[in-house]
Amino acid sequence: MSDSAQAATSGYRSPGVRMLSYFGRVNYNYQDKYMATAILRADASSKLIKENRWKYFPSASLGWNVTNEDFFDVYPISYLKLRFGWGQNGNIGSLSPFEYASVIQAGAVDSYYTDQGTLVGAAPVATSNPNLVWETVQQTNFGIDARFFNDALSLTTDLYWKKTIDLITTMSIPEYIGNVKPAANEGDVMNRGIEMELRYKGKAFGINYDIAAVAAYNHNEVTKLDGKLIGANLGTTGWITEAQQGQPIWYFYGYEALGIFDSFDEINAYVNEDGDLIQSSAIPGDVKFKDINGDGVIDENDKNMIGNPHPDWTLGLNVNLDYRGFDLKIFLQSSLGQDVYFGAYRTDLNNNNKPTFLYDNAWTPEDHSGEFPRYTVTDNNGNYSHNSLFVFDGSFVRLQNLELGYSFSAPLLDKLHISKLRLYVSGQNLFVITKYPGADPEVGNSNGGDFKSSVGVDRGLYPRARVVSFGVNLSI
Amino acid sequence: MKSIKYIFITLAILASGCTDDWLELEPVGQKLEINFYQTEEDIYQGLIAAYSMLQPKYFSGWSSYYFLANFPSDDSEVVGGGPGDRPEYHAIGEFTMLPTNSAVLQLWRRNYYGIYRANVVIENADPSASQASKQYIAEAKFLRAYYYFQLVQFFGDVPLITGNLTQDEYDQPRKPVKQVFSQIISDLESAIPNMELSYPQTYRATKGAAQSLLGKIYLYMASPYYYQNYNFNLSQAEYYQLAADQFETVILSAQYDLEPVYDNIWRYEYEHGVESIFEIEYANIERGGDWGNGRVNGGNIDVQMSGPRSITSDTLLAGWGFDMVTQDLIAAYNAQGDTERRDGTAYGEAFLASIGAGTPEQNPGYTGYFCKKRATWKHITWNSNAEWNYETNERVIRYADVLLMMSEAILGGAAGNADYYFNLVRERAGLDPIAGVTMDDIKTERRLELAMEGFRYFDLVRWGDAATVLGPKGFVAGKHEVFPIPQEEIVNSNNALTQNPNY
Repeated sequence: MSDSAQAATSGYRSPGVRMLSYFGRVNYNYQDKYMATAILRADASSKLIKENRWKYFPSASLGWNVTNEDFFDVYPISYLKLRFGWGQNGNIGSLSPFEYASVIQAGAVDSYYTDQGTLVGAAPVATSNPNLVWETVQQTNFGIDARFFNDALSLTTDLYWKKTIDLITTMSIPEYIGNVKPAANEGDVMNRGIEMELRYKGKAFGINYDIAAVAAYNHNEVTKLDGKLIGANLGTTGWITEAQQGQPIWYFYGYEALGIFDSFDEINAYVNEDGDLIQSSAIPGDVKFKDINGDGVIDENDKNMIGNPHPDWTLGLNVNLDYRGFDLKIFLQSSLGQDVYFGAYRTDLNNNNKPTFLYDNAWTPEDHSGEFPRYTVTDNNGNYSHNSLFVFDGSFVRLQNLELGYSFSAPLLDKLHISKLRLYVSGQNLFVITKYPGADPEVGNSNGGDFKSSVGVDRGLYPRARVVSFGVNLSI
Repeated sequence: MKSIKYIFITLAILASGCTDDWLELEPVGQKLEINFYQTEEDIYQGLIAAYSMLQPKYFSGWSSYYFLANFPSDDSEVVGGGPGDRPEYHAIGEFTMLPTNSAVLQLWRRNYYGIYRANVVIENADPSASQASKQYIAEAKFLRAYYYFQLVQFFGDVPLITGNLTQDEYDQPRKPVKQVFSQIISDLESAIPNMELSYPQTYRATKGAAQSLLGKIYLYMASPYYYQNYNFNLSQAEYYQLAADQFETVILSAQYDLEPVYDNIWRYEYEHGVESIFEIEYANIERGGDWGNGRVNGGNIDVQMSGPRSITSDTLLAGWGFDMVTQDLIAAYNAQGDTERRDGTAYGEAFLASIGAGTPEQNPGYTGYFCKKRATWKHITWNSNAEWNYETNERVIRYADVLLMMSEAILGGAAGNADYYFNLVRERAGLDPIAGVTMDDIKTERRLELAMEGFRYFDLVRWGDAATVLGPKGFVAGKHEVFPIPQEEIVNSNNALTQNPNY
């Protein structure tokens, strides 16, 4: 139960959110060999209309600790457990109170500012959606926990299918309805993959090791959706991400660039069946767009999926070593296979704030090798409309943390009446290996609460800093 | 034998003594819609919210209803900091606007948000309750008519929404212009009897405003482009007569006259003056305008947008250099020897030099002339956040416009003396009267009288002259008479909406 009151800015106080839950659990354990758990919970929230308020969320798990079987004695396996789980959980965290009902607000956006003073008006805050229901996350997983060589080496593996049913996002309805769009349950999304962790702890030649490697593969797909969901906006030429059944959620949407026109001959040769120029406004140095639907003109119908912002693999390596007072920590992180849309160019500033790579690698009349369009302020071709030229492989390997320390030995410290003295030097984000030309391949995914639809869009946020620090830990 | 070591059962009731009623919350400090619109005060507040949608020129993105109407005309050059400065605006002025143009989407939004709020008032107010309620409904209908007329002018056929939609009604097709005009006409006709000729609250829509708007609708229906394309029921001459009837009533109401000095019409000091029929309010109020407030702003940002860049002066502040007056318009004034209206509409470098303001920054497209009707006078804004607090009201309907429309309707076949009304306007500008006014005279006069007020592009379209006049600017006949339907709307209506031709 939670009854939290939140104070909002405009003199309006939220009545809070109330949640009511019933929870039942059955555990079964047979000689630490066979384990089973079943849970049934019923949740209700004041965020939903009475008819849709309650929902049951069952879950169950089974475990078999193979090493506890009398018949099992296999060197070097010191521990082996097989797991299976299935369960559902509800999620309405992203909802605001009263999205199901129409609420009147007398706020700044409803007032008329006249020479005779501010006239305070009132209007419904947003379109209401009485059909909102719980978003349900249903997860199935098979797992193995194994340890070897007297637990020195351990391996954890999970295969999972995580399905988000009735995904809550902004309702995809037209503006002509006339008010702020509410949240809605818009479809199902499946994330499936495998997660593995391999860890080795040990000691050799006086060195203590603790090395852990993690690897995870994930595949994201919208498995159910009527029509299209429009995602995040970018610039002044429409949305950059959208969702459709059968595709990864919030894929990049735009034109497919075929390259740069080198000459008027090339522009004049790019014609449709009637012999009309497909890009009549282009001049050499402009982007050549693919006529996806083959109708002989470039328009909205030629936009398509041009990139997937979700990584295939995320990897991590954590190394901890210590030797005779020296300690070394290394944390490497990597993400592979995701695309980044470079959206940090600003067309509203002629001479400023464009990254050098767009300039250095621009097509020029003298040098046709540049892969980006000519550098200009007069662009009748739409070179900066959302297109595949600005989709980059965002894969990276980052040295997240490196730290080397030395702790002075106890006999020396005792004389000085100090219990601990450690000197260290540490570096964060010391290097990134990536082909991404922007400031930072990890571009964040915040879009003002827009349900993460801006994932993978580089809006020129401040990149991660490189930090080198020297330190002393002193305890008396 | 199987032995169960232990079974552990947890049953936790996380809330004790609770029932479903405990989950039924009411908002604090706000009301549910089902409990609102009960009193006259509630209805009034709903109406104010419908008025408030007149103001946004920045609505989650730059989208001035005035700029979008003026940039495509031959009076205006977009400019600003250069072609990359507000590309969505440049695309409008260069006729390269795409269905994804953010300003077009925001303009569409602003009008439908206004319609929604007007609908709420019309649906919920009880017309039998009081005279005040009747007036509120009438004003809401005027506003709905204004917003729909904007939509028709910009987009042609549009979805026609006159009440609350349920979710299974969200996919709305576009309705023919004829049907939208019918709705506008019926709204205005039912509003007019319940409106006063004037109110102490100058922001309110009056009987004269509604009649002028109704006359304008009829004039549009009679105009060549609309009449040929939209299949109306009556003859052209009948629409001209219907228009003239409305204008004549406005003229005979004796509520209005021409401002003696043309240059004063758009001055802050002359707001709601004798010539004013309907204005959109802008005010300099504490906390009113600031960066990041979006549609909350009470100031007229187009004034800031229109000022010369990089000048310094005690009387005129620097602006952002948009909506420059074309040399073509200056030449049109000079051809008529029309210095009074030229100097009331535009100022140039000579004026800037005379006030010691220096030379403005020049970017591609720079014409040398700035819009005086939205001049960045220092005394009409706030001393901090000056950009967002210019008080200049937009003159949406003024008496000179009505006189010229009257004259045009008479030339089209309505009864009356076209020369008389025409020459009232012309003589105010200090020009000699014309005998035997022609349609060409009207077209020139409307341009010179109403320049930089957002009428020219729509006039050229309805007269069927847009391709000839605006062709050099990029206008394509059969395409640019209307703007593209926002692509996002087509997708979100599940393709119930169709795109305008050739976009």
